[in-house]
Amino acid sequence: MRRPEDHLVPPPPDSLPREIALDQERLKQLLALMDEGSLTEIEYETEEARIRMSRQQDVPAMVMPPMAAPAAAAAAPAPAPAAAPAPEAAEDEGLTVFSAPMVGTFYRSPNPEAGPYVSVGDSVGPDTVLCILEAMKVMNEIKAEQSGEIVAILVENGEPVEYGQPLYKIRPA
Amino acid sequence: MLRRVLIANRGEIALRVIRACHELGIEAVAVYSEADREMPYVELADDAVCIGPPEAARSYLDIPSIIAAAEIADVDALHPGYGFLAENARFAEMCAASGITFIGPPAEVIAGCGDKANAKELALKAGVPVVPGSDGLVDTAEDAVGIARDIGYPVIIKATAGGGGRGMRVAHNEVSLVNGYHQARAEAATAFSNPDVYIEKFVLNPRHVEIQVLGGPDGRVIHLGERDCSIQRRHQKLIEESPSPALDEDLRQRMGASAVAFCEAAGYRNAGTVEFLLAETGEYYFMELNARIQVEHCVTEMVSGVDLVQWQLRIAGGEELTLKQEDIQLQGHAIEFRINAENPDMNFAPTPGKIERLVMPGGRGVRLDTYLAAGCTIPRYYDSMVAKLIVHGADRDEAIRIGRRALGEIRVEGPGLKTTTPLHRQILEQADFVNGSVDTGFMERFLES
Repeated sequence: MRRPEDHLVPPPPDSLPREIALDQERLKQLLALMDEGSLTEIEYETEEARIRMSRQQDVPAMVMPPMAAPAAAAAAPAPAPAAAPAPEAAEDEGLTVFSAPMVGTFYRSPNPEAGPYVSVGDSVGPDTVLCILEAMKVMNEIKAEQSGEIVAILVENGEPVEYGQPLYKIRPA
Repeated sequence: MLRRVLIANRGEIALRVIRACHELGIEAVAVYSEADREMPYVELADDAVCIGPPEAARSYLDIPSIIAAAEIADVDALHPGYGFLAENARFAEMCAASGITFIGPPAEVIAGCGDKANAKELALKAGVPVVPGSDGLVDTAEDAVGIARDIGYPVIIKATAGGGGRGMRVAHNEVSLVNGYHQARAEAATAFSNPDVYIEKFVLNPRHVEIQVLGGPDGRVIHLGERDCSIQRRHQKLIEESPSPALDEDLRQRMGASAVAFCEAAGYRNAGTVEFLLAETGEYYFMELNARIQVEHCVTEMVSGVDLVQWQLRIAGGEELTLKQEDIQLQGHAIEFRINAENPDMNFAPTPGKIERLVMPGGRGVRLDTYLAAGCTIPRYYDSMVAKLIVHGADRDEAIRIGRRALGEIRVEGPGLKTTTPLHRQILEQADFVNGSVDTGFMERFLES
């Protein structure tokens, strides 16, 4: 439960891929608007994108729905709690961390007799079941919600996991 | 005896329960949302489980996440605190079904007392006075007049589907009753698509006085005196005190006996509070039962010397309630001030944000229950109450003097941060408050002036 990795908290998978086309100018304008009005939060929506910026501390932090567009991502400072330790970031370049979307007990296979859903080296698609998280006697199948290759499995079978705990490292396809 | 307890709450009450656990040698497990990750009290727990994102609906209110956390943390009991899931009968039931002791009354008692009509019926059966009124809906103006003749004016006409003051009329005589009856029905029909109304006696300038109770595993209930919570703004309590300036020993014992009778009739267990309206005339009426520990429990702890949260844990662990009614003697006077991160000048808008400087009061007669520390951020997702200052003096005058002094020591500073501290200092200068002559309309009058 208490591990250093607790601080790696990527967004929950259900909100994953979402195209966002916002240029830096637009972001700057929004930021200026927030400063001008001493706003703590601003939400901006067009047909192709939605952005929410909120200021929780004295430094404006931008919290956006996760996005693929690298340009926009570069313009936005990462929200504070998601800051990854520097050394690991270098080593894990290009990998995404798949985190537990709920609290529960982690099972790699559908039942004790069966083989694991996925192993290191397997290719997965958005609908591939990665594991089961058991909560309140309910077996919840957890899907990958993305395409890629399993690079590492970070928890042991039968181990309890908390919300946001990293479970897999995936190299996006 | 409990071994390990999960606290399904956050903030000061989570810390309060952690402290009580540790004093009893029980392990405490905290749960936290991502917004509370860095809170110092989480670190004080023996273990901690992240249960979800900041939104309460997906963390502190999410039953599967909390039960799953209790399962993986291997606890034998769960303390719900107040708010969130504390009075959710289904949650209490699911805890029991998962083999986890719910620290509070049984699920069916929570459900039974949570239903207003059912609670009123229980009160009547137990001989506890309730606000007199119509037995159900009033179908004609003539019926209304007849009922008002029986219960006496003034009366209040209330829409059964109502809320927020709409569909409500106070009537002081027959003419205003007949007019008010038709107006209330018309208003209710427009506002709620339901014209049905009922009638109750209108209690003029009431005080909010509540009785703290403890029910043992065997069903024996004792009371620990009253708290006067008349200083409220929009039904949110701001200041609570014990004893009430309006009660003498005779009234205290009668109200206490009523609270005990209600709880015994309801099959109540563990800590709870019976709320009453106290009229100027000294008549009191049952309002509701709060099936949980309350924010203001500390006031009772200060005057009774009884640790209520420890008793919650002990009773849930099956220990006999060894306290007897005659053991309960109130000493001195205690007042609690709720320090909310709100701006009273901006219609009490919450002011979340980072605390840069924090000075909290101390000294004789001061108890401070808070989860705050310098450097931590008050999350914008939850209740704005961040600290409770409880002062205890030999009598009410001394408690007020300690209160003024201690409130003057408080500094909670950060960008945009405001608290209710200055408001409390102003209230302590009001003659009505100092004289102890307040009612639930005090704050409204004070804020208007």
